[in-house]
Amino acid sequence: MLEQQLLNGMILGSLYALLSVGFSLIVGILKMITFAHGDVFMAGAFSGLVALLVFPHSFLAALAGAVAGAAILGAITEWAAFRPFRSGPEMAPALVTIGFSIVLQALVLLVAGADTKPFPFELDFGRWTVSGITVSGLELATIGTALAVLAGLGLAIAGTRWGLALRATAAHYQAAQIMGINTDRVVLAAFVLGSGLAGLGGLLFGAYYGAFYPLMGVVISMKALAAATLGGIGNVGGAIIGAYLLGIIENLVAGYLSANYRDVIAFAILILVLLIRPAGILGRGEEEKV
Amino acid sequence: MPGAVRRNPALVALPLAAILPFFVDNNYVFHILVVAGIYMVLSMSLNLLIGYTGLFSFGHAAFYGTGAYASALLSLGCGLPFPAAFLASGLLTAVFGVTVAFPALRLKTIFLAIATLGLNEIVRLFLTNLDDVTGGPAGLPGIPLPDLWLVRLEQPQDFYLAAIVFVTAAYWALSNLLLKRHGRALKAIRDDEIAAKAVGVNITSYKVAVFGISAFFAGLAGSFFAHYITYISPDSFGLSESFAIIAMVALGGMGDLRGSLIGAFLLCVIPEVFRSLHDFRELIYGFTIMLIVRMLPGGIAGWTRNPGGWLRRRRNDDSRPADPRREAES
Amino acid sequence: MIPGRRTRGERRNRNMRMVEVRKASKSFGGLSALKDVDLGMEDGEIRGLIGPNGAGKTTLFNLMAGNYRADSGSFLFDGQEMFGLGIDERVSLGIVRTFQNIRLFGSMTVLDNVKMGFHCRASTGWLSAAFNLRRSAREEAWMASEGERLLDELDLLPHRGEQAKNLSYGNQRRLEIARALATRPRLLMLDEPAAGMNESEGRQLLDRIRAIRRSGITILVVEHDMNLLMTVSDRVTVLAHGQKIAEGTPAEVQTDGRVIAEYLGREADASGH
Repeated sequence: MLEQQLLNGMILGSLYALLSVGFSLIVGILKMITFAHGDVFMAGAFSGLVALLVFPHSFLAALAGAVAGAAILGAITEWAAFRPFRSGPEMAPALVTIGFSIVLQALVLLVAGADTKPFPFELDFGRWTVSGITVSGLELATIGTALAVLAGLGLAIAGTRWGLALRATAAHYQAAQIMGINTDRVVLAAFVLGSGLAGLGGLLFGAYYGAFYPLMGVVISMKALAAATLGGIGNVGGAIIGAYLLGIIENLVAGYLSANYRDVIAFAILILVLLIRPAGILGRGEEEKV
Repeated sequence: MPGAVRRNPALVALPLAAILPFFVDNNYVFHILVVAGIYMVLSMSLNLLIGYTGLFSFGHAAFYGTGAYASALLSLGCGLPFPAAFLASGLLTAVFGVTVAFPALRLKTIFLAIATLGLNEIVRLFLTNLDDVTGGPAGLPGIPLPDLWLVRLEQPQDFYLAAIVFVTAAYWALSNLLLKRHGRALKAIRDDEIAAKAVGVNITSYKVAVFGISAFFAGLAGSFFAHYITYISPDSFGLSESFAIIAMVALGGMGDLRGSLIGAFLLCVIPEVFRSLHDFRELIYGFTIMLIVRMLPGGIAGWTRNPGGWLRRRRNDDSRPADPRREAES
Repeated sequence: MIPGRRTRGERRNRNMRMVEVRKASKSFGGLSALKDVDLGMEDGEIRGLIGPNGAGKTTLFNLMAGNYRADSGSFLFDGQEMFGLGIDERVSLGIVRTFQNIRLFGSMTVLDNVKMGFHCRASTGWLSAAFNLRRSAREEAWMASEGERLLDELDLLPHRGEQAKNLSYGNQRRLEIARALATRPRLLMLDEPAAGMNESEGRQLLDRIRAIRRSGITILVVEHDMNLLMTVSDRVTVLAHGQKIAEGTPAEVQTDGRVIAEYLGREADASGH
């Protein structure tokens, strides 16, 4: 039982992590937030389905389509909602992304309809039972893909020139600019990358639950935001840890306490973390500079 | 009073709308306008937080829903007559707003936005899961129609007239508040909190008060909605509802009450006027928000004050805060 | 109707000075910024506060204004302890400050900025304002007329309808002082009021500070412009390394050996860059 819950928690955590990393990248660099991330996740998943129309029966094509579609939408988000407002007002991008979120949902609704679609063919990657827990190949693939991709991202941030530019930009936007870093390009890369991961998550989510629908990104993106906050929003490593923690906590709550309140727990954690560490990792002291 | 009217054309325009029933006899039209009236109060009350004080509360539907459920439960459970349930639900929601305000004081900008979104979800989830009290996902049916001692509101036309009274009263009270020293203090807090402190504004009490007042009016709007529709369910008070109210505030103009009236009216009425475009309605809605924030940062109200101003704004805009990142680091 | 300068602020003890800071200390993250500093000021005096960068003068200033919380020490204002009170309480007792980097309410009009200064002297409540009671209307009218009088005094009246952010730099500085005066202070704390001013603007400022003092307000000035500070101050307090190293008339301080050592040493360093 416990092992099964932990496994379920890992799967859910993997899906959260693919979303929460995007939130953290954006908040980390711009100190601004997007509310369209869940819909990029959803639209990415649908573009994965579109890729299947061209390459039928290729799971890899679906994955690639989802990543590419979401990455393009991420670039559009940055271009439409964030680039015009680099120097404020700081809540303007949030408002534009609310609009973008509605647009994406409406577009997918128009094109694909409101009904829930399954993944078009059966994904049978085998199924094993080890000491009482059943694991399917798809579950392993979900966790494995997420971990591999996230590890790659971590290495890129820690060890590449691009990662250095990203860290510098997050640490101090103007200083990075003065040092000759093309901050606009760094921001664009963060959006493309974060959104690509969200698209990957979207497709895995749809395939795993067998459900693609226009509102599929709404609740999970709020949970991923909670996870990113739990890990210290703006910190990519924190976002990943927070995502797996939240996934596991939720499944434990659902398994041992009450399935009804698993979502409440997620948002209660979100608010508590914000209150206990008011500004997350930005950590402003009690006294303001004058 | 006459002075207030002169300064406030909206105080003339709103009651004038009461003559509409002499020309129109269409329940559907009145229904749309009643709904618009409810959203007018909601967006004015949210504007108090977002536009006037700079408090980015993104979960306004939580207050709206609290008022609706409080009123419904007080009438159904305790048999309270409508006027009492109406006021009580406003006050209860205000208490809830004040309770939320204390933790919210510690949060700013996106962190406040995230926390209030979380709060909205928590409220909705509780409404969904407390089956015994709230009726769960199925909601509460059979909420009694308002009985106002002498008159009973039944037809959409009755509600239309009641909504005019409601919106006018809310607008009158709020515009009085905001034109005077309290409104000025709120704007001062929005412009520069440290400077506001330095001239003796007690930031804490103002933020708490403004949360309470905003929640009060949102609660009243919720009560009005519940007794008009006579059926409520948690789905009416989710995040998309909060986003819709934010859109109205942004469209009308941040920090402008009259703008909120216009914004709510337009976003409620336009989709109905273009019924043939029904399928594209959400799409138009979303694009409107995106374009408004980009092209008319002051909303419609800001534009009417300074038409064409947005063209010049691009080039030299020193009105912007120097840099948000500087704030974050200091 | 409108509370003017309070009379209950009468000196409780005739021997007590108006401002009495004792052993004020403050450290940031283990780094001591201010250590056991005393500062006593007489009613109606103009006091200059100087010191090299990092001497702790801004820290002392912020402790007195209430922006920072003191680690230890006390600050008696008219015999009443100020450390521990909120900024708003200090303002209503008569302590007000300006900012080195000018903090106005940019989107509000010039007149409204000054009205914000009267805020702490007004008393109508939310309900009275919401229901448009006569009382709140009268108070608004009072704020408007007093505000215009104050703007006139500071030569800002023609700008009263402009947004504060659109004012010229010099006018913004003056508006900040007007707003501070509107709070009816007894102690006005000016944080580098001459920063960014040219010589003639500096001279005007000098006259203005003296005029403010003539109206009975005690003034504490932190300033880098040594000429201005020495001309305007009755007495000067010198801080260095978070401690007070000298205090006296401008003439005394200028000849003080430690001050010269600190200052000239630093100046020499600074010019060497």
